[in-house]
Amino acid sequence: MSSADGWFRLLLRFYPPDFRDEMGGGLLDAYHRQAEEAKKRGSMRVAAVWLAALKDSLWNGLGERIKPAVEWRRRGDWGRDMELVTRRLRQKPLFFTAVLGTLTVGLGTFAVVYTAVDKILLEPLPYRDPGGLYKVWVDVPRLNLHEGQLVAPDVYQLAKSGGPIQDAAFLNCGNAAIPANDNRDAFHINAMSASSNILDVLGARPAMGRAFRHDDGDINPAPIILSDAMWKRLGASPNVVGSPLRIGPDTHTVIGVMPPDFAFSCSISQRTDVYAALNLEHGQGNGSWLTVLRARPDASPEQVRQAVQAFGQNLAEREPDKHRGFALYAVGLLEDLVKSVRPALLALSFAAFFLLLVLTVNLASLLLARAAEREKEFAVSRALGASGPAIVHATLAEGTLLGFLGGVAGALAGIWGTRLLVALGPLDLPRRETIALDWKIALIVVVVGALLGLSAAAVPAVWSARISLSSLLSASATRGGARAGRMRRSLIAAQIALSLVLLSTGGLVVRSFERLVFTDPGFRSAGVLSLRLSTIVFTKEQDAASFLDRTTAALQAVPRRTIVSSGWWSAKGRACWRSVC
Amino acid sequence: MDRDRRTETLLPLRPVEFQILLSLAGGERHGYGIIQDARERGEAAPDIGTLYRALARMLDQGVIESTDSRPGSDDERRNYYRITDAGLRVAKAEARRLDALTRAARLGGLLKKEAK
Repeated sequence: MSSADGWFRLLLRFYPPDFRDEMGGGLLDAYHRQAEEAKKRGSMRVAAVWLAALKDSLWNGLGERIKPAVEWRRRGDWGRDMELVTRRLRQKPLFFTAVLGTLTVGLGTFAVVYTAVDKILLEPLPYRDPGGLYKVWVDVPRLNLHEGQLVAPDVYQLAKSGGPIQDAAFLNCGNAAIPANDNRDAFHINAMSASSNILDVLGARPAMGRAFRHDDGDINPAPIILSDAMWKRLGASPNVVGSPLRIGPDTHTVIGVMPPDFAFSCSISQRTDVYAALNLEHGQGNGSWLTVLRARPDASPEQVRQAVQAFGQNLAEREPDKHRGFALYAVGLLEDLVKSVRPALLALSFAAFFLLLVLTVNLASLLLARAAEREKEFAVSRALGASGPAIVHATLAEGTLLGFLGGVAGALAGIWGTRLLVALGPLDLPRRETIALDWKIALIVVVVGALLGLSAAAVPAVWSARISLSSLLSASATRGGARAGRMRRSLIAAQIALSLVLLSTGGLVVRSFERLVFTDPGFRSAGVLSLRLSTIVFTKEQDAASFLDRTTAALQAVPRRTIVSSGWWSAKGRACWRSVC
Repeated sequence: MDRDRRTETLLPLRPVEFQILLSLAGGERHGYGIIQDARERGEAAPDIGTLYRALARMLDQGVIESTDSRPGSDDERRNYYRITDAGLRVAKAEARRLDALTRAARLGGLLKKEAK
């Protein structure tokens, strides 16, 4: 090797190895040709060429290391592998489509389940410090009553009982109607009557107007706060605060409008349209009420449960006649809300986890089959000097890219899937309105997809790194590639086993939902239709009765009905029934 | 349509890229041959490192390709390159762009007007 050759080869070291591999020969040749030409013009010219080559290599070599000329090289080894993988996948569109389709369906299903579990079970309720909110229920085992309600004076006492209990509010929900006017027809609304501290207990504030004051409960007709949806339904007037609103026979004053994300109701399937304050501190009313309790910030759930239990015991001891066999217990507000769907959702999460495992094994098996097709290519690459880690790297890149793309497609399918779930899901699915795939969940699905691809590629990566020319020759001569076949058979066995677990979990989920949907209501529900009418707009009882009679008569005229029955609460709070057979 | 869009994304070319396409439009060349061509045209020849980084980029873009043919007993380290159809389109588009700029410079009085 001449001194010039040594010098120019040394300068090549400034360039990154992959650039050297691709362009090194040409660079060396060009430097040599330049030096040869300079030699004819004296040694000073040669020295100048050597120095110019040094400057050029420093500038361009380091420049190439910092910002490679070829764009995909700028992304490092992973970038190069990704470029090669993309090119290979483009050559096999059928394989690519099949894998992407499988991953889209699988990861899309995972996205829907994850969204439902996250939004229903995990996401905190939209109130201030929602962990400190509890529902209080009455348990009377001798009456087989486990979710009984408290009377208002007991709730006032509970609110003042101190210890870990900061405050308590009572509430009840009912139907009402907004009468027709020149601009609109009459329509039903869901109204909540609650103690005036309800918004303080929940930690919510109206978006417009003011919250309830203590004395609002004493005003008749009670001042009301509208939900955002109700405000919009009434025309979204910016001057709504202070305006009168007729509900049934009474005219109420609107004092505020709640923000759009606020929702609170007595039952899961109803959204409250109007909130009214009520003061029963002086013992009026014998009705029973749902109770919401706010714990002190530093109180643990156990302390709250014990305090509520002790309060119940105290009540039972003070008034043994009224409270015989009576006990109180507190349940976290979220826990109480989701208790009906919790087992089904946990079974679904279990199924989704197994679905991911099946997808991983399925992808591993497909990638291994594809790697086996490229066995000769791997062997030749090894023989030409490609290192084991480089082959592992490239195979892992292929799996990760497929998983990533599957994750993106799965997240998109999940957006559509969650909309379908909300549209087709039961009306009393808790927190139904919050179920939507957001960017955080989409990101998780994409990351899960990429990790799934990476782990699926691990088996073929290890297998392909072990291939060498000699092993290929001996395998094809003696065993015909038995090792890959064995691996594929094991993967298929694992896939079948996991699919069985998935199927049985799916069966459990279906049974669980069946039980939820087909709960025996205690009567033959087949062929029964219910119709809700509001008679609250009638101030006189006979008017309401006559209205119901006319409606019943009209229904009787409907062909193929057998029985029409109606019932209502009279203005005096009496239950009235009429049946026509 | 796509072809035109792709050509446009590569414009404007760097001087070294235009020099390479200009040389290769005249036939296959090796790297040092491109430098010699530039000198013969009276242009400042690019540095060797700059030239080879541009060649690597243009190979990736598909505007040039390397060829296996080399005349007689030529050095086997020496790679020959040729212009592709896409490369020819890019070179012509760049030449039109430069021509328009030159005409604008003349109209603006930055260059002397051509003698009629």
